[in-house]
Amino acid sequence: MNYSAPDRKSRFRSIHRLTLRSLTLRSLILRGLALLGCSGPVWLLTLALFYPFAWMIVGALWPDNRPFSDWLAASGPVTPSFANFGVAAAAVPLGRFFFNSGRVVLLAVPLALLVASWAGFAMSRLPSRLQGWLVWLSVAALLTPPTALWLARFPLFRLLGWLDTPLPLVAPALLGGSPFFVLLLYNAYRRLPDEMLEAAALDGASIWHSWRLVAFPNVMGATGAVVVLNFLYFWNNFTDPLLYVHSLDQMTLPVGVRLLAQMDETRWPLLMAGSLILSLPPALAFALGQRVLRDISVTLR
Amino acid sequence: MVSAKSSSEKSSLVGVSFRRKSRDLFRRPLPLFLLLGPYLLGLFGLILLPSLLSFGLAFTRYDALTPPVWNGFSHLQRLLQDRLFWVALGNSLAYLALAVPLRIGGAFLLALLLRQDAFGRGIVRFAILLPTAIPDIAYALIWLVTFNPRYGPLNLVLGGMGLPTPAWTLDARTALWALVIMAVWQLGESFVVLFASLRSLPRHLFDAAALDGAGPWNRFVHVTLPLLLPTLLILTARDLIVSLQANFTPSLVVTKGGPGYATLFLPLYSFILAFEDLRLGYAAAVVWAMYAVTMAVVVGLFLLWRRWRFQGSLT
Repeated sequence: MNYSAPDRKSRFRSIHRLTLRSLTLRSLILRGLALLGCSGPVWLLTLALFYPFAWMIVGALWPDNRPFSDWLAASGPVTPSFANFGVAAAAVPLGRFFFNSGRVVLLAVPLALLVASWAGFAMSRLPSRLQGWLVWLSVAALLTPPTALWLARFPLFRLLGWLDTPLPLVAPALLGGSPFFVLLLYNAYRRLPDEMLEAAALDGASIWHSWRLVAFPNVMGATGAVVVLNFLYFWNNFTDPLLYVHSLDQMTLPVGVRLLAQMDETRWPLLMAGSLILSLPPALAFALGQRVLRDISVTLR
Repeated sequence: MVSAKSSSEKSSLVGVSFRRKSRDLFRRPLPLFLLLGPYLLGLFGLILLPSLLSFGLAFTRYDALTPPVWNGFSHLQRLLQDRLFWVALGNSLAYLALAVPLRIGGAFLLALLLRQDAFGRGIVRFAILLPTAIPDIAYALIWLVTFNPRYGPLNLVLGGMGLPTPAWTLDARTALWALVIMAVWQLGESFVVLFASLRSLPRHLFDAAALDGAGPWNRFVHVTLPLLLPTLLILTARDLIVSLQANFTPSLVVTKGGPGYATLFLPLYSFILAFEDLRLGYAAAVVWAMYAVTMAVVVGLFLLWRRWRFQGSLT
């Protein structure tokens, strides 16, 4: 199965090259118009899907003292204002929250990647019965309701003295971020042919070396996807800091943005400015990681 | 997979000593367990131990300050008489019944529309996945402003077009719907899976159906749908489990469980019980009741599917 993938890709490329050669400007315009006409519903849906993000940007730049209805009433032009970011940062220490979030991500994402990568690799090389057990254990872990875990993790973290430190926020890295990511990498490692690792073993490579030098470089697609997804998971995490972190010094950005809403829900340009600051890093990571994420769909097959 | 297996069999016939040596290395599982160690530790410390603890807590009275006190099944008894629990359960089930079909259906529709390669599909895929990548809290705040009955953009547009302008999150009749609308936008994950499985369907089946004179509709009903049914079912089961939990942040931030108790869902109820009322034992009982409900729904779905498949194979 996996050997057909590069074939298909190269075939696709050669077809692509052929069509490129036969393209003229006129045919390109005609084809573009036809595509736009045929896929009208798709473009409408796309616009609708962009709505939340687009509204967040509009809201963040909307002058704080103008109601949104001015847009329809047209009582004088509305000029975008960048003051909201400053006002929001003056109301709550957004810079501090941003730093705290960044610290958690920098600690947790590499750790989660190592844990998930090791676990996925080790699982793929264990006897098949053990593999089955571990897969079921991971699926069962995925099905456990998070609410049940909050309740009992709280006293556990308190016992360890971890409350109000970044540690409870980094702790899920021990699960590789989520058992789902471990399963994803397990699936990728399982596709590596046995011969590859046997050859390494024959050359005297230990298991550590066969992971580091042979297996790991061969699953870069899935690994990249796990990095992007882990970044999104740790950066976006709202419930864990809500439960385990209470002081302003340790608070991360998602809870900090909620603080803005708790202070004054009606000053929505400030809420949107805070939300935009919070959403830009994941949106950027997601845009850059799109190519990588596409590989997941291949791994899922 | 097949080719790898057959060649390793061949090598074991040709060079016996060579095979044994490499097999020894991978049959000695200790180094592998060292690599697996951190994950097993995580599974134990962050999943297994907390779930056992919270299961145990369901049978105790515990306020997180003094040690838990065993009180047997009295929480279960109280659960049955707790009006708020039944309200939260009903709201959660209503939310699932509305949000899950809309979300899976929307993802399926988009996957069908985007099945062919077309100009700008990268942008469309980006747009589909973006609402899923936005942090929950930012996403909730966006909709909090959107649904504001006085100055929110939604009602301004609706009012401008002469349509009714409900009070959305401030009206007990529409608050649940507002949260369902929020959920529909986040169909990215289901879309990715459906899109991938749609693209991996064998082409020759469609060619054969077309040769037999099946039009687009018949090809969809008799080829696409039966082939994708297992995927759709697994996604529905997954979405049921995820949705039951995922309405926590929206219900906390956008509607705060209200108005009245119109959007009090089970996760929010257990959160309030545990971290505001400090009744962790009773909250644990609520959580495990919720777990039982989820499992019942999922098992029911699979039984339905097995019955459907059985009948399908007879006809």
